[in-house]
Amino acid sequence: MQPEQDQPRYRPGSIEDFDRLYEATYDRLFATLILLLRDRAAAEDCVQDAFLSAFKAWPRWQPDAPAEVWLHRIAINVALSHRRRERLREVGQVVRRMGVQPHSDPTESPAHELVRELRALPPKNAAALVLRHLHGYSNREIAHALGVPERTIASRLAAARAKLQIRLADLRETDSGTLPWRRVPSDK
Amino acid sequence: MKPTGSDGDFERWLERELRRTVGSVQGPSPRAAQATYRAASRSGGKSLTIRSGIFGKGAAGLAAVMLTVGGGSAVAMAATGSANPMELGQRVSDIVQGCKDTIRDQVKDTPANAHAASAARTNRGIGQCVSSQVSKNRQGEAQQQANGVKDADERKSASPSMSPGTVHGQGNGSGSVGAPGQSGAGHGNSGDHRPTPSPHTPSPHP
Repeated sequence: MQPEQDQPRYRPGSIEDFDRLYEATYDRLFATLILLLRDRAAAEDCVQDAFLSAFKAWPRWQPDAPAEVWLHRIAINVALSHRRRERLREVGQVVRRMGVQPHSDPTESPAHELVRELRALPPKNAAALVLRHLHGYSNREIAHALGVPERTIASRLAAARAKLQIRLADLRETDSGTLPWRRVPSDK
Repeated sequence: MKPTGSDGDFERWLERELRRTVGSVQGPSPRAAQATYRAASRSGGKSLTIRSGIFGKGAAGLAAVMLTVGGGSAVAMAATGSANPMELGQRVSDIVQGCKDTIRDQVKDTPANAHAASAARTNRGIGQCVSSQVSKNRQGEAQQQANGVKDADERKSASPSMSPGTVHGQGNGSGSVGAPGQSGAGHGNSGDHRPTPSPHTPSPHP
């Protein structure tokens, strides 16, 4: 995330400024959502939905946090709603196919274990990891984007990182026995 | 690819992998003109303004008047003299506002009349007023169209050998039965505002 003084100024309600904001932040929002959601199409849809919601609320936007953080908050909420609906659909599919072997999802990218394990984390923890390690958000910005108290962010991040590390290490050891990082003791 | 240490290494590895993963799926740079919110603002945003402008308590009958007089949008177009929905909305809004003002003026003229004051508050009688305005506009429009056709015919018969485009406005007047000058009415709103997208370079700084 850019330092506050370097961030572009936006005027609430200005369509030109919202266009600028869209073009400046689309890629980063899309990156966040593609890591949280199942596929590219879903991420694109959710980003567009998020921008639509943000556009409706744009006249009331208050610059108490960077505009991108505000957009991330909307986008993550849209993504979480999408995931809930997706889960319900999956449950329905499981019930319908009872005993039939499930087909693999052709839209899913070749099993990328990091993304898969990231999606297996609680959604807000996964989002916190993405915001920190992909976008470089501070604890305060992550708290704002997730709508949770700032004091919980450090512990969420630590817990999410440890869980991810352990799960990936288990996978790596099972597959090839090599790890690009040193294994964390499991009691940590 | 074989760093030492645990937490720091893992974090660095995580950052690298996340960027690599995302980098492989990033598409072309977005254009605001193609965004969903832009489409929504073009179709819904403006109509929302018009709706809130014209559909007051007393003006709610306007749509009914328009439809009752006959033919929905065709009548509305004829009544307001415009095929452009935005202009149509604006003119309808003007008609309603004019009627409201008329009713309010009538109350001012008769301040002692409690019945008239009540009528002004509730915009009673606005339906009739709007209806008569619509009729007037339609008559005027029909007259204008008739004149336009007549003028065009006269010009045609006066100078049959004149080449097209040598008289300003002739192309518009002879090609359609629309009133003179009307053909340019929609041009102001027809341009699609497409801002030039600024180059975007996502540059995460962890």
